[in-house]
Amino acid sequence: MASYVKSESGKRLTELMAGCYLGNHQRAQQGAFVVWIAIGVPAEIFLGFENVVYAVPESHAAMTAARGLGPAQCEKAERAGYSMDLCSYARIDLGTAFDNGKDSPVGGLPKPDLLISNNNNCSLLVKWFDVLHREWKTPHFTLDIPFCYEVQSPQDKSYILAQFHDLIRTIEGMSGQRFDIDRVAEATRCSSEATRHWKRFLACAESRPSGITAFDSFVQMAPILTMRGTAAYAEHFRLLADETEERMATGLFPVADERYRLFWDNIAPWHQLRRMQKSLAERQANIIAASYTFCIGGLEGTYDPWYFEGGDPLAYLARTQNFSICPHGMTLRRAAMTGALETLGIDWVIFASNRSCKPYSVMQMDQQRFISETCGVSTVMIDIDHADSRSYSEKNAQLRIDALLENIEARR
Amino acid sequence: MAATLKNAGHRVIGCFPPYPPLELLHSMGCVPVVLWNLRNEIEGTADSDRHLQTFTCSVGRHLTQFLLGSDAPQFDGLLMTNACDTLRNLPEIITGEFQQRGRELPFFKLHIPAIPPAQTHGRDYLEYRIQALIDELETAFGQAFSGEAFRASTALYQRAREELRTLEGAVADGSIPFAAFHRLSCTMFNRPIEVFLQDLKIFRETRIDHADSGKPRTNGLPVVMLSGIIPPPDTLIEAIETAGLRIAGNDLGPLFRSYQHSPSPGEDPVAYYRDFYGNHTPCSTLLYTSDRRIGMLEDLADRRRVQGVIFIGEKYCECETFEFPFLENRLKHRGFQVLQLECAIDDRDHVDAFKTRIEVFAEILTSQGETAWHHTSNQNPGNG
Repeated sequence: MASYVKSESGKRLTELMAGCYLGNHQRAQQGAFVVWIAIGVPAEIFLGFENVVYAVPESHAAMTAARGLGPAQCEKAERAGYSMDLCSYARIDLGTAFDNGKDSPVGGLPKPDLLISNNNNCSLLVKWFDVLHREWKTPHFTLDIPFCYEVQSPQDKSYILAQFHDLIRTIEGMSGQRFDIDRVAEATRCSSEATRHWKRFLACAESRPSGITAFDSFVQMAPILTMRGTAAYAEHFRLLADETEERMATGLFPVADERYRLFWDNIAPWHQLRRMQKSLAERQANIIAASYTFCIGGLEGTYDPWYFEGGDPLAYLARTQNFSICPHGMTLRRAAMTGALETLGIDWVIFASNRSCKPYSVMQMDQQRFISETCGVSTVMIDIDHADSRSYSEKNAQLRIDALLENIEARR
Repeated sequence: MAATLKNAGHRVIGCFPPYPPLELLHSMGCVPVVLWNLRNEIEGTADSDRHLQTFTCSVGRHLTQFLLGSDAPQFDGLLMTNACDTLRNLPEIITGEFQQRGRELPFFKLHIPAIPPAQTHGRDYLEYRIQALIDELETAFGQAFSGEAFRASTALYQRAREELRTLEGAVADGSIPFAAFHRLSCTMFNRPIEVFLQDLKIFRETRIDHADSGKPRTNGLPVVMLSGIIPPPDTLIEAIETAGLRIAGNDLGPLFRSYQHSPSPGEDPVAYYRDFYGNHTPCSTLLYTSDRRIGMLEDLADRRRVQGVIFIGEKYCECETFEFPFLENRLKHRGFQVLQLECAIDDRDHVDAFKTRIEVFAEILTSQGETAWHHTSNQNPGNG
């Protein structure tokens, strides 16, 4: 296996994220209006205000889990009565919040002035933010984004857009700040530019061997959640894509002796990233792509990007409210995944059945059958919990993946 | 029951829980059957298990099993409203399986705005969705919508809900046991409303009008209230009553949450459902009603003069589970005793594990009874 060193983009990401979390704390202390948002809420809107800081509990929970701190924070929520059956992101966030940020890698998040959730990724986000709303008596604004069994309808788009205007009026009223649509247009351009480079980075998976692993994309997606709309965000992804392409040109590949190209379906197993990547690489296997990261920037039924080409940025943001997997019905998910499997030359799909994420997982058994029977790609299902390692059996997952690799080899 | 209805010539629509637009379906010549509380309708979940992981709630697994089971009743269509992250993933699983079997079934979907009614645009969006649903129903079944028929249907449902509220008052004062009321109430969702109204009449005549003079029979038993998205299994209700607890109130999905609010009959479905959903009794699945739930619970507990609240948790129902800690703390702070029971899919047959906890809870309430802060066993709690 070729030597593989940590990329400059990896180092830069660490600095960016530390700066982002620290910056949020500092700005909050200096009087910025703080909102907590679900990942689907269009952060570009907040850049339309002079001094609004947005924090993303889901991203913080993922980072906490990746640092191995998930169970400790989950247990705090469980002690407060929140069931272990609830999403581990939610438990990590509630545990962190109830303990005022103690044991968080970044001291938690600055306390919010407004909570903003939406229900298309999952409706439990609304319930989760409701807990904080009641605990802290913080106002909670919900964006109602209709679930998509088909491509978004014009009526749905208008409904979403109207809610954006409500949200803007709410923030104006609470913060006393004026909203500037031109600033949002600029933020949306930055995000669109970032998406362009993000897709260029992901396209590195098309080569043989792949220039990236899905684990790289899991780690690198953090700014999409926490820095959206900023120039630094677009620049980071430009450098990331450039660097990845340069490394490939010089023969640097994460699994240079790659024999097996795998696809991952579900949220990242944050507590297992390094172990799983290393273990697979030792078997000449690479999970080169994941629906979780490939969907970003796309529309319903495709992973292809949908760029901002000018016009009303809010209308663009309303149209792209279904950019992730969970708001899509099975037909749309199939269409997107089928296209990606072909483009990427996938040998096998790992369906990660995630007890912590029912929106993603409930329908995977049917998806698995469909992909096996229709695409001619073999599949395996393993059990995971994206952020609570107590609900994950490494041995069981390993056993199934080993069987999978043996099966691929036997077929060759 | 659905198969029987179909065989009798009815156009039967299977509705996902919890709160489909029953009146609209009825007015367009359909018999809506709400697919919840199906524990007693199926044996095993083999067909469902081919599609759903075991961490799916029993509502989803039972519903799927009921539809895909080998002797699945023949529906003329299915309808779902947005309720939770699990149910929203099921329509394509079910229609996909039907297609494999060579069956095509119309699947209607109604998105209820999940924002407070006061928030702008939800009202307009609901109008669009209701009108779209009417158009789809007209196309599917060739029957035009009629305002007059809608008024008649809404009047029937209003009457049924009124009568259920009256009967609940009889449960509250001890004239009829909760178990009997519960069994009757749940049948509202699996038979024509006209038949259900007949059943209500018979029940009232046999269980109340001829009961021993309507005198409250509180008997000094500790009084409790049940709360949860679906009722507990019959065996668990029996265990609660056998332990010496009297169930005087409920906040259950198919019961109180379904019959407590009923808009005035009218010919305009948009106005009707704006009221129906906008002012609906709080439910954890109607996201915009959550802030009202604790107030509603406290009010109900006060009116029913209960000493304890038993939360019936549905394993893997995240909507309910997220709310329990807050509700429990608030109720305890108000002096109510709280017991939380979590029912899993196979708990119809395995209630023994709960019995000890229920008995201990009953003992606590009994010992507390003489010095209860506001409960006096001779008071008539009223029907409110």
